[in-house]
Amino acid sequence: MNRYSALAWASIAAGLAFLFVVPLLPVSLPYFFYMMFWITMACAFNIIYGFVGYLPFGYVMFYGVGTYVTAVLWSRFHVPIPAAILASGCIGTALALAVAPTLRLRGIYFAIVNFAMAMVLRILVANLPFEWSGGSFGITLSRAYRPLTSYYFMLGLMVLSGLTVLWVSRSRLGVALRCIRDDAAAASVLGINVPVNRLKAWMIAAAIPSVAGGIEAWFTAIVDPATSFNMMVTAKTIVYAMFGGLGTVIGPVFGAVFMYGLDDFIWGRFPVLNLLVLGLMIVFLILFMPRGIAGTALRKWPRLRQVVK
Amino acid sequence: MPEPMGMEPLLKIKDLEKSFGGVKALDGISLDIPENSVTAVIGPNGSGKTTFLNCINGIYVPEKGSITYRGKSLVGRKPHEIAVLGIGRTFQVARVFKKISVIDNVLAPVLRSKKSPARLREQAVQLLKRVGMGDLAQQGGGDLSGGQQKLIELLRAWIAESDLILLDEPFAGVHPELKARFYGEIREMRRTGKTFVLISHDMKSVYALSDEIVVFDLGKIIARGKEEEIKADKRVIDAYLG
Repeated sequence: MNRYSALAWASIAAGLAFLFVVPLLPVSLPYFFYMMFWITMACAFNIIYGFVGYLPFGYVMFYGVGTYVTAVLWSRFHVPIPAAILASGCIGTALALAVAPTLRLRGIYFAIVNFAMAMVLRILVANLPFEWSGGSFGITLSRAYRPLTSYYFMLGLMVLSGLTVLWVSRSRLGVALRCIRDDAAAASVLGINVPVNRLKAWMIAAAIPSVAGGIEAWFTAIVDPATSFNMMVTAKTIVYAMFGGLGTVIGPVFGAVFMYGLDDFIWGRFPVLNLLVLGLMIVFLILFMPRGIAGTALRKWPRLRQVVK
Repeated sequence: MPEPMGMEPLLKIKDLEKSFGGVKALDGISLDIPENSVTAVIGPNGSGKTTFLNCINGIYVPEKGSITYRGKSLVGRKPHEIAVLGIGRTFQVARVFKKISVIDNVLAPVLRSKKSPARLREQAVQLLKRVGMGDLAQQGGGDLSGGQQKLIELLRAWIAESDLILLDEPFAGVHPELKARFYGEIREMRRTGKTFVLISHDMKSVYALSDEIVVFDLGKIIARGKEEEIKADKRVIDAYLG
């Protein structure tokens, strides 16, 4: 382990220790809950876009399904919350498998179809029988409200998703995914099974936001179609991950911490201009830092590869 | 190198046809490739040479005909299945993965290998050193010159231990020094029993490396033989050599 790696691991350990004691400190619990939520979302998104090059514009659908599965199972079937959250992950992954044929599409075609699927799901959920989904009013989970426990669940999921990205990046699967991203046809000629490897990445990238959705539903104790399938969830996930640096391990973490902090700061001071400023940040990002923080740093200091990648 | 009596060819192609719209790119190609040989395929642009390779390694599915490798039919198999059978490939325009490191590019075909990753990595380092690219192992694939990218494609076939290697214009735009390294590597691989199908417009290389030359024109084989036979063939002179 070189000194850059040692420093990186020490920083991560310190950050995790801080997040662990946050509930004991006089700081906003929701702020840090959502920071971990966005880190988790950005890390998961990185697997399918950063490593494989597929841009799912309807990524919110996994999060949305996760929120509803947990809420419906707990409120209608009295399933304990941890089991309901686990079921959210399973059903989100099953949904990814069901829509996997769309992975044959590439580029903007895949993005548009995925976006359309998220819209269809939102309408479907909103039109489920009222006694199941609560229609446009949604479902309240106030009797299950345990902010502290759900906070630690999110901390656990964030660590798990970070480790998953690290494993993917260092594994043979990670090399295969990067090959597919760069040139799927050439990867295939070299013996890489493109559909199978792509599907693995897609299912991992779907499972994580589905579980995150379940935990977030528990934390807020309310779900409704407009919030659960809000396209801003996709937009923010993309922007946060890109700002940090897609295809790197640490980039989306940096991106989510920085951009969520900035977003929260702007929201607190300029509530009306919040989206305008976010839009300007996206323009700035695409124009001046298309590789994100980690990608730009890597280009300038290639020796950081061991830490960043 | 003449095929020993009674020995099955490594690759057997019979009556291969492939069309694009109304154009027949391959029109009844039949060809046997003996083991441990270099067969050069030459011909004018658009004569069907690259389509021929694309049919062998599954990028295109031919409409008619058969391709048999070590007794197994290749038609209908996916490119990754064909690669696993032991057929490697280089491309006319090198297709190196630009955003991953040079060493990971070399290791890409052995991701499913049962050998230990450390051993494979060491082998990749040795291969890179042998072709004078040891210092570039951690660079991105996109940072390499065109010639270096083509060498990386050849090293992939080395490390994958492919028995049949399809080379599509490996010498086009390559610096003479790198070309000499290519010659060396191909001859060395040949010594270890590998078989090559070589497409090239570089006739010096074709004459220097190949055992047999097959000439394509308008999707058909118009001639085949040794250097002297090809040079003397009127159809080849008219269609290609001028």
